[in-house]
Amino acid sequence: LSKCVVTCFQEYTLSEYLRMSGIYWGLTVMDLMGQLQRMNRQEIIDFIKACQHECGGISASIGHDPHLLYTLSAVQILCLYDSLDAIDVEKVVDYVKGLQQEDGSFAGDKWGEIDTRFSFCAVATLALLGKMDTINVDKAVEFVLSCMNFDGGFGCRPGSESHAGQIYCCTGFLSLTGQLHQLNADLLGWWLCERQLPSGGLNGRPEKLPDVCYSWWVLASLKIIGRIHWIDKAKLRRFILACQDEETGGFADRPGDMVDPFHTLFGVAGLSLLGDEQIKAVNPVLCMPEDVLQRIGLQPDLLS
Amino acid sequence: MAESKEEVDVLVQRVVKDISSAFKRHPNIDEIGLIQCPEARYNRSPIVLVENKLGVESWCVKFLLPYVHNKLLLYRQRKHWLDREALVDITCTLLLLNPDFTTAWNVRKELLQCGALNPERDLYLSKLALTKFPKSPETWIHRWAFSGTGRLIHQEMKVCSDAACRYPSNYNAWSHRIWVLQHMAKGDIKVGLLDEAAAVKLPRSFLIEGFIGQAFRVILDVNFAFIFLLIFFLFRPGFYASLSPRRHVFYLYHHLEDSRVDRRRHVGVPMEVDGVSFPDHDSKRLRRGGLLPSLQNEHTFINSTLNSSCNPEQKNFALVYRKWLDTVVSAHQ
Repeated sequence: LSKCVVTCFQEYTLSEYLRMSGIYWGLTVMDLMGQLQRMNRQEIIDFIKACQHECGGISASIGHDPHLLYTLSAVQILCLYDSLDAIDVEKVVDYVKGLQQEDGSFAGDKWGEIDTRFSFCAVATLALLGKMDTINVDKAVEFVLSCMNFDGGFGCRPGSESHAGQIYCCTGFLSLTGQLHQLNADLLGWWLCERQLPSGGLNGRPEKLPDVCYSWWVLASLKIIGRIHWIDKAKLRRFILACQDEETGGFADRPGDMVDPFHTLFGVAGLSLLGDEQIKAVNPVLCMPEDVLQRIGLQPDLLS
Repeated sequence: MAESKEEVDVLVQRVVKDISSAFKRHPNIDEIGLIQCPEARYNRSPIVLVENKLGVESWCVKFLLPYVHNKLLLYRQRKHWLDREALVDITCTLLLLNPDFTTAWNVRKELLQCGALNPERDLYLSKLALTKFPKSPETWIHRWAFSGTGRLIHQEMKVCSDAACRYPSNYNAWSHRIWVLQHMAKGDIKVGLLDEAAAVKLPRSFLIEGFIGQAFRVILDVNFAFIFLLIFFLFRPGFYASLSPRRHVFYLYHHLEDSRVDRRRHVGVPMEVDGVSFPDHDSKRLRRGGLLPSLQNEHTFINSTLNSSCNPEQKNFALVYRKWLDTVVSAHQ
């Protein structure tokens, strides 16, 4: 597996527009496997520095425009390396703060797209920097709750269909802001565990195919709301392992498909939540190793 | 076959020009695609136009993409100057090959802002990109930011349904559609939903997700009476076999009932929810006819499905529905 992640790093493909997140996926897998020292730390830190813009935001790669998604990824990587001082943290905080709208929502960048994912990115970035008090948290919570649907789940904006990825962001958001009691955990838990299919794999919405990345979005959400025991863990574990490619060690969305760092992280992180002892414990809210969060003194809420 | 750097540069500049002149000469191109062709077989342009379909021969992508990609990034870092026309051409080629290149859309947003790019042409490019990449999040976001005028509603709805037809269960298409309904149509939501209800030519998943996943929420916010229209649609035998929508209707119905009772209690104005007068005699008639969901009715329905259906999937849905009623509903009553 480690070999696969290293190879992925050497290949520059169509994916440059999301490179910063790609680095976060790869490094987090390496750290969860206890192999972080195999990556070139200084090169990565220099790259992140070069991606911070005048406005404080960070871009996916050099020459691309800054965005909240890649700002969070960069902050997560610097936490793995205990090197937050490499960037101008104060400016990052100003950037995130500046993206909050009057209704409490967050735009992803200066062009103004609104999505509950960005509410999560904003509070996750600020929580890692210990600066949550710089935004209007009450308003932010109000907006996320306005995206809750009658099935207990969440969509990207008010009125949008529930989606496991958005649910992960919103439960993570409510955990970081101490508002998990606002959820209907039974109703949401039911929707989430209905994502398990006969193959053992999980899908992201009704009538969709299973995909390894939902082992993370669904499982982590269930862990956050204290309902992880509602699904068949052994079957899910078998599904995730069937998605690992024997030759390269990486994971694909489904058995037999092409592997990539994104599915590799969420496969490995899913196995960690399922209690695999070869992998370090992962935090369900931030998808980072628990020992890293202990180091920075961050302990997001979980329902029991 | 171009090999040296100079030759590659000449080749790709010609291809970028070919693409932009194809659009100029044929403003009605309605679809783009890649033609599988690992090597250049003839000494001709890799841009092929057949009946309003624009094709790019695959052999040239490995030269074309890095070229336009690097050009734009150098421009963004102020290391290389490009005039507005060149920017329009380069972003066009780049986005047709890789529509998730956010920064290229951002460059076009700036060109729109300073009037160097016609908004109609820009919407046209994103529409074309969606014919090849119907899920592309960045393309949907770009439309979201720049489709601002009322006369475009029908165009937006058409783009959404086309993309949902090309990739069923397209979350981004649906989220965009709901945004259009909420922000662009405003007063016309009823009309929009009725149109959709009548449009049986849409794929099945489109209808199911539209009604169940999203439209319900809009209806909840907009007009209580609409729920009955939808109940009629969904409970009509044979309309949709799965019991999962039935469950949502049941939950939503009782959720709404509760809020109606609450409002009557607190506000003292009977039959008015969200400012919309609710016709109570209709509700009584539906109840008499056994059309409104009650816990008992639902159990009867499940039993009859289990007894009569020989379809295992259908039976499984019925069992899941029963378990859901017992776990989620009964526990909260």
